[in-house]
Formats: sequence, C-alpha cells, structure tokens
Amino acid sequence: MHDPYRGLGDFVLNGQADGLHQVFSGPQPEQVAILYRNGYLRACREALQARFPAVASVMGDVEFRKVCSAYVQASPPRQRTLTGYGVDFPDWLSTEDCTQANPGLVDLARLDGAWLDCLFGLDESPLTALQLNQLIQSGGGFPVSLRLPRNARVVALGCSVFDVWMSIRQGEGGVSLPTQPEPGHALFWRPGMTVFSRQLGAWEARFYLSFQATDSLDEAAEHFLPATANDRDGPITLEQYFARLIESGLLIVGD
Amino acid sequence: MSFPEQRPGFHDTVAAGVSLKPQHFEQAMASRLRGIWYEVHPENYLMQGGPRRRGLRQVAADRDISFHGVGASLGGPDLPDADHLKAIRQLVDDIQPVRLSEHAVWSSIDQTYLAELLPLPRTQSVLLNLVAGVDVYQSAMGRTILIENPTNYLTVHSDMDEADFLLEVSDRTGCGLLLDINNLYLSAHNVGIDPKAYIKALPPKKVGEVHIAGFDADPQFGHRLLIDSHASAVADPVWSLLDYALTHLGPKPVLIERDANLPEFSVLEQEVHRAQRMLDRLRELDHA
Repeated sequence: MHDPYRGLGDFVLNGQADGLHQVFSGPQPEQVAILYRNGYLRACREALQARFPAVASVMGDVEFRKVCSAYVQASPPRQRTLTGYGVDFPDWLSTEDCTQANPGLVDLARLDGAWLDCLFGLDESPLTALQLNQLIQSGGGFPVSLRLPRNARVVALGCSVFDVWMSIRQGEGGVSLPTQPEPGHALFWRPGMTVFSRQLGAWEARFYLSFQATDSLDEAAEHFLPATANDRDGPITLEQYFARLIESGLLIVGD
Repeated sequence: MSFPEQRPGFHDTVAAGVSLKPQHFEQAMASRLRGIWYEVHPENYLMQGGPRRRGLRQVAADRDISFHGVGASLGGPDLPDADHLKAIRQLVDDIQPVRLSEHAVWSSIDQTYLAELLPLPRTQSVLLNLVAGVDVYQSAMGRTILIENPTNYLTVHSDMDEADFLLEVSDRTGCGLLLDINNLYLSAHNVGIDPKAYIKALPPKKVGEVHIAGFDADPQFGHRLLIDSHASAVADPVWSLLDYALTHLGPKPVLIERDANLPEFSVLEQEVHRAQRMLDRLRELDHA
C-alpha cells in the first residue's frame, strides 16, 4: 500500500532510501533528500549542545557529534519541540563506552541538564525576611507551610566534578575531570531570573532531598546536623541556617 | 465551525516585522520603527518560566507578536499531538498573538518528531490529512490560523498544483494562507514552479501574512540547489518577487525571517524599513 510518509520518514530517521520513490519523482532523490536527514540530525545535535554545553566542550566537536548521532538513533525526539530534548541523555551516556574511562562526563551532563531545567522551571517569588517579619507582626504568625521553589533541582554526582563544571561553564579550557568515585550532590535554584548553584555536603543533601520530597521543613530539619569540624561552611545553628535559606531565596510559602 | 479571526493589534496599519530572538529582546522593545511587529516560533517558548518566557511577555506587552508554529505536523499521518496543542494554547492565552500560523508540511511519524518541515505529496488522501490537522489545530486554538507554502527541493508526486492544494485546504477549513515569497522563489528555482502564476492564483483576501528571508547555495550542489537557510540577508530577486506579490495582493503584514547567523538588530531593522517603505508606497498608490 502506498504510504506517502513511511518512505521519507525511514530515510530521515535511518538513512534507508528505498521508499523515497513513493514521495519524489525523478532519479536518485536521495542525493537531494539527504538535506532533510542532515537537517534532522543537525537540529537534534544543536539541541543537545544547547542543553549540555560542558559535555560538548570537554568531548570536543568530533567526539560529541559521534555521541549525539548514537543518542539520536537510540532515543529520537518524542515531543514536538527540541527545547527539552535530551532529558535521558545522562543516563544513556552512563552506559556508553566513552564514559567508562571518563565517568565525570556523566556528572557534567547531569549538572548541565539540571541547570537548564532550573532556568526553564516555574517562576516563583521567594519568601523574604521582610515578608516573614510582616507576617509574624500582623498576627498571621509563622507560615506553617514552606517549601523549596519548584524550579529547584538536587543532583546526585558520582565524582567531585562540581568545581570543574563551574570552570567550564565560565569559559575556562584545559580542565581535566576527576576519575575517582567521590559521591556528592549539587543544588540548583532560581529565585529571580538567574540560576544559582552550589555543592552540598552529606547532611545538606539529605536535608534538601527530604525537603523537596515532602515539602516539609520540619521533616527536612531532622537531617540538620550540629556543626562539625567537616562542615563546609563552618559552625552554624539551625536558626542561622534558616536565615540563610531565606537570604538565598530558597523558601516559598506553601500552597 | 467558524472561529474568530486574528486578534486586533496595537497598530491599525499593515506593517513589516522581523523574527524575534532572545538576544534582541531589549532592542526589540526599544525599536522606533513604526508598527514593527515580531514573530516567534511558539515551540521555543514552551518552558514553564525563566528569562526567555519573561522576555517574550515583556515585548508582547506593547508590540504585536505573530506565532509561527513549526511542530504541529499538520499534514502528517497522525493528528497533531494533543499535549503539544495544549502547550501552544496555553502560550497563546498568555501572549495573545495577533496572528497564528503553521506550515503545510509534516514532521512526525510513530510519535517521533523529525524536526524538519517535510514536503507533502499533493494527493487527495494527504489533502484530507492536512484538512483534518488544520481543523484540529484551529479547534484547539479557538481561532483560525494561516498555513504556509513549503520550500520544494524535489518534485513530489502530485495530483494538483500547490496553490490549488492550499486553496482547497483553505476552503474546507476556513484557514488563511501565509505566502512565503522566499519559499516560492526557491521552489521556482529548484523544481520549476511558476512563481507569478502561483501568486496570481491566490485570492488576496485569503492571504493573511507574507514572509521573506535569505537563502544559501547548497554546499554540495552549489547554486543548482538553493536552501531556505534563513541565515542571510534577503536577496534582490526575492525583494522583486515580494513587490510583485504585494502589487497583486495589496498591503499585507510582511515578515523578515532570520533564524541563524544573526546580525545586529539594527541590520534587521534596515530590512524591516525597506519592506515598510514598499507597503507605504502601495498605500500611496492606492490613495492616488
């Protein structure tokens, strides 16, 4: 049965030219129709480069093109926009040979992806110290329900690549990725129009993961540890930490 | 079913516009060109929030915006994706574009998005698919849309001329037409369509918007095959064909399409200004 779509669809996706005659008249249509396939691959690659700039930078053009071609074949776009294409690219990348010797690449991909997801996430107005004060003084009391912004992302990492990722994103070249496993986490959030990010220590990671999963500051606070010598930011109390959350724009009054 | 036509804009007179990119948001808002309007691909703004979406909202607050969709696959084997339509509609409700358009092409099969504007064989069965796709899209948007003529790089199997094909879709669905002069010029060059006969076949009232853009020679075939790159200034023959089209159609909103190799915004404004002068001259002739 004549299918006006299958022939060209198969060619764009897989390079199979057998069915092109169902669409086009004239000899050897594949010589020109290749521009459709090239356009498809190029659009997908550009979308992946936009989403994973640090990965593209570290891999270099040739290697990144090769990886993109393989990924597009394995996981072609399903949505009618390429803006969000590549959500499962980090997981897919972790199964590829190129990351066996360079596991930091997967973490770079996770950080890149989280940054963009945060940037494109929901706009919300964080609770400010002034608003909190006004709420308490007006008799409204302390807001019982506080949560993280919906645009916040907590990223699990296998290697200590966060600082390297920051350097790459700031345009520094010649960086080398760590290869030794060193599990950690990073946090991304956007109180206004700029994405903020920082590395999280072990208890902070548990705190934010709990907070994000439960929308309960009380439950998350159970993970707060008294100051230890290993604390990244030095000794702080829970009250001080809460003030820091407000200052950073990390608290939203719950729904 | 009939739908309302385009939303009234900020300006009464027909004007020229240009593709809007995030790096030009500030200049777009500051432009002093009378009546300048902006085109965006709604698929680039479907995120929940962030600076890009906010920037579009700010420009739309006092400039007319036209949405030019690229992802609907109107003529494809499947109806337009419901989730996609919902997302576009949400953006339409947010931004309130003056015009909404898509392409008379296909771009999706077996739920895979091919990210290219693929040509439709002009057969009865494909016509029915395109009619169904336009009907669904217009229902989802609650308004009529314009559909754009494609660029042809190869001759497709056809039972009818392209102009007749699009007019038939328009008659059956109530949609209007978006005449892309660059696409027409390239189709004439690449596959031998008669561009002036094509333009003369279009009833002026059917055409709601006109596009011009730059093209490039194919890297492999050279000037034997011209590519709709939207990456160059508009070429002189395309300006000439635009002049011919506007003489036949009357004043229409004209868009300078530029999607790649972006110059300074002031360079784009020069092309907008040239198009605007053509429209102004037409109006002067009308009143003479």
